[in-house]
Amino acid sequence: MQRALAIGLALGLIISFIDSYSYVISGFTTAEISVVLAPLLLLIMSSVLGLKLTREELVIASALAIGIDITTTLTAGMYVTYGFLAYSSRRLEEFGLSISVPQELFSSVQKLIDLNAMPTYISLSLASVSGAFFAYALRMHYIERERLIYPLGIVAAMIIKSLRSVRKRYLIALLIGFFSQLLVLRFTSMIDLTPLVSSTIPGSILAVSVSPLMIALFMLLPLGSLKFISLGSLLTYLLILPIIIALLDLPVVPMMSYEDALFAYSNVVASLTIGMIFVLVSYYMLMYRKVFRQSFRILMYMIPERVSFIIGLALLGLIVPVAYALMHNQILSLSMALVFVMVLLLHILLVLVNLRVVGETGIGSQAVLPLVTLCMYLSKVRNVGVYAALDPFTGIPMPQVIGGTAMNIIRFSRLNGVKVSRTLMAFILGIVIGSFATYIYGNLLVAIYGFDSPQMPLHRWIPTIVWMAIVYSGSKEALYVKALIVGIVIGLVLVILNAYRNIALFPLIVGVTLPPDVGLTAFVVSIAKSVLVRMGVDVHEKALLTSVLALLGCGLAVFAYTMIIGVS
Amino acid sequence: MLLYIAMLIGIVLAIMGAIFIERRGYTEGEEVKLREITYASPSIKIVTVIIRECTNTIAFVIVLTVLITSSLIASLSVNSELLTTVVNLETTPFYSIIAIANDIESVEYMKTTLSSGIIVVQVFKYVDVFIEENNKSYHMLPMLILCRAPSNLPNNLITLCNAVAHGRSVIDRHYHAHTSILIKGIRFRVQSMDLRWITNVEILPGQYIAHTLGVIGSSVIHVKDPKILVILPLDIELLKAICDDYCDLRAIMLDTDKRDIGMVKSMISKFSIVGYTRDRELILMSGIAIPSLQSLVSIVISIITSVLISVAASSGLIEKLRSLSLALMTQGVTSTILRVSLGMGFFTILTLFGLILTMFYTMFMTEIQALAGLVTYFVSSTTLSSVLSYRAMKMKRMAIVNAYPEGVFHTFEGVLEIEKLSNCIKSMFVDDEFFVLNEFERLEVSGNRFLMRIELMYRHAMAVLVSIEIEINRRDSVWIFKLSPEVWSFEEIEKYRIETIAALALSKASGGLRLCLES
Repeated sequence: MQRALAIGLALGLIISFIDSYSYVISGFTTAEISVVLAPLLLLIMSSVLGLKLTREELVIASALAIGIDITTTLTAGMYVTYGFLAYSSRRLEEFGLSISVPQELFSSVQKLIDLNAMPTYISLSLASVSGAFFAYALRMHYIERERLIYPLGIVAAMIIKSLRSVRKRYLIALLIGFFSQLLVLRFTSMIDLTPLVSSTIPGSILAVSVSPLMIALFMLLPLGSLKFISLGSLLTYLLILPIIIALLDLPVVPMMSYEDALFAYSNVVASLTIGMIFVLVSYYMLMYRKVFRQSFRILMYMIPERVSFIIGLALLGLIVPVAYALMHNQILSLSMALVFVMVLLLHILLVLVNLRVVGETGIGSQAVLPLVTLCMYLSKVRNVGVYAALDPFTGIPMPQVIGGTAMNIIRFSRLNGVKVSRTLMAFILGIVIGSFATYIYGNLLVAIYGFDSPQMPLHRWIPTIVWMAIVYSGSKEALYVKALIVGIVIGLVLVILNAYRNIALFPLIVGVTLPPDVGLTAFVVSIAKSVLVRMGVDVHEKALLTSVLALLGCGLAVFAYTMIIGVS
Repeated sequence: MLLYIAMLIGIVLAIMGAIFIERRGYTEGEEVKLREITYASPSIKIVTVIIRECTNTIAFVIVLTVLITSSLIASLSVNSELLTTVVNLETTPFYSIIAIANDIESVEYMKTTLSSGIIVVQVFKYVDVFIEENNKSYHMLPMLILCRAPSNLPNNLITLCNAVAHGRSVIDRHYHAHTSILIKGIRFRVQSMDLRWITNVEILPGQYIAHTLGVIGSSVIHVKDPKILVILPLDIELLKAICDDYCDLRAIMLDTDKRDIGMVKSMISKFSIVGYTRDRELILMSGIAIPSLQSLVSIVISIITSVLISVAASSGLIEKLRSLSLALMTQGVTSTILRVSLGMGFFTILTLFGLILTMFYTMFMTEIQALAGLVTYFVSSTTLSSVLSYRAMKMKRMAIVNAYPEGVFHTFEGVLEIEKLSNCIKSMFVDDEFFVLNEFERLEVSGNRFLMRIELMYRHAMAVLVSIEIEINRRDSVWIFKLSPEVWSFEEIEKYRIETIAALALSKASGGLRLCLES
């Protein structure tokens, strides 16, 4: 077992460093697909080094590596985001947006390690571990009662089973994935159709892009979910958004590019999404209220699960003292105390919902998280530090994402016959270690490259920073009530339609939050996959194997490209 | 302090919690006996057979010729227009021509193109401006301008142009600077003036003359504080020095001279957006070429014609494939697999030729011609593949199960030992050809009611589980059995396949139960 932990630790530290860098410069990380990649990489390492890992060692080492890697999204990425927000804050004031980033989020101290901010990020990263404890406590509910698939966990188990005897010619898929992704990273190309479609349907947004990594990932998702993901994305940006723009009488800037258009209407789409989420979350909880009641009743009788849930609550509760500390001795009013309570309850609710989303859709998603942002915004919270501590969407803690990853790992562990609690322990230890490691990585990246370096071009963060500034400053542009109402109406229509036709509601919502070029990719892949599925189970299995190897190749290309940029 | 305490509590809770659940946890019985992937695939073999059969026939050569020819015709006959948008403005703008670009090379071209008006280059990169009078350095955003015959410009802009024309820089009067400033080691004479007006000049919807980041909702995110701006005379070398390796810039040319549309259109190849005004309308054009309506109609006609001719020419091929399909169906290949494999076979071979065609278009045709040709080819190929596979499979479909079996009932009269019965049923699945027994459970609900659950794994898929529930009720000496199946798959499989597997499992369980009851 020590061997497994050592290898998992080594792999986790390497891939999390590369993911930290990649996340910062491109907003892209392989952290969430590390559920599939980590076991494969370990298998390859094991084969190359002649280690002959047992199945249990492979699973434990994978869980540890994934735990370390997933903290990239919590610490390194958020540290650089808030750092850039702090760096830009004075400049944003000149553009009419006023925000102040506390020292506890970024202290601008010219040292290698920002000790001022460290406890904030580590505490909130550990608060996110509550998602793993909730997932463990309720795993039977989701796996046995709701019969959710958690596709990535299953795919990882299926491929591990087969990979030991894979024929060499399938490795071509790995090479194709590697070189195609490298080409795309080097020569980023996108056919911007926004000026064209917008001239016909004002406000519509569309582009065509090729991302081998997204193609390979989509091939692993359930076909039903994939169809609704693509439908959600394309319908939103080609039909619903133009209708809302017309209803709101918003100006349509002529000849806007794809990126500019996505930025320009990001607040409209966010308002629409929140309206839909509100209805769908309420519907889900209503439909499953009896099942949840039974599950919680059973949970109370089972000691490990009960203790796990309580520990989850305790860890989640850490966000409150952190938020209070970031208020800088302001008096805690009754309204703020109520905000804290409301946010805690919402966090728990959204963990329950997100575990469903991940189980159905496959990929992790932040689709449901803006609900917390809205509640805080409407409660007139205007403190950047409080958002950072409480909000899972613009802030740091994300128990929902950790919970979703934990469920995939639980599925992976069960299918391999390995003790789930042991695997989860490794995952949680990975997060504890990774919180420190990736925080240090974030610090190093900032210390070495700064915020104005060609090696770390942060201009792609500008839309995110501006959007955060708009929300935190309480600008009326953050929320469009009419778009929210349209979202609620659409949500109700979907719920009614679901009674007559089987509609995958949560994958649809995930699609709404994806940009249309990704939605188009999902659409094309869903057509290809529906053909492959009809050709028989054997063809589909081969397609899965090929896709996983291609995905691994793409992941390796991201790693290689990141290293090349760093060295040059 | 509070943060450190929270951090420590978090570490302790997370680690202690993890250790606790590890100690109290148990191995959960889900180890599903996943089988390895099979590498033999009938569907792919069928696809390769189709490809081989197609390449051996003259009919297919004719089909290919028709498709490529129609693609070339569509490509060569395409006409394009530039993408144009008409913007209604509230007032007549002061300029007649507007051009927008985002690179330094375009700025050089703007300098040679401008006849009467102003060029404004917004540089989105802060520079250090050392004001010698104040002996202090400030971060400012540079705006470089060039004016030519500015008499038709608004007064504020004329004043600015006059200041900059003599090589001076301009900053806001807040600094009270009148001597000189230093930027990148270059000294500029400086003039302070009231620049509050500059943040309010909107030259077109969503674009101000001062630095504009973009639009969000109904708000334009642009510079609101003129103190941040330093206005400099436009010089390419200065621009390159400011930009250094890289910077974001937006160059806007506003020309007050009227020009003919042809000349305006000729500028499109050099700039991102070009426009001209017509009363209160601004007509914007971009370099994106779109096919004209006639071209679109021509493409559609080409597609329809090529498909019709190809279908007519391929009768011999269809007959050959039809007899092949019939032979395969008698061997057990389903009609769905055959139809899809046929379609995939046609599409694959047509796509291979399509890739060669793509390379040809890329080398010898313009973008719009290539687009028209490739769209025609690939839409025709897809349509043709569907039509041909439908025609090749146009025969009576073999009967397949198309209803999910709800359940089966049995009755038995006599004495029955449940334990003996359950052992017997279990033994029926030990060496089954189609299923592996994963789990068997038996539960006595009451003296007259029992439940059995058989969980089976389907051997011919990687992870398909079938659960058969047997409800047993006794009334006096009569035993009533209800068997109901439930299929659950980790993989994607078609509905009819699920129904078939459910029916198969149910029939085995039902048959096994009857045998056990009789024995």
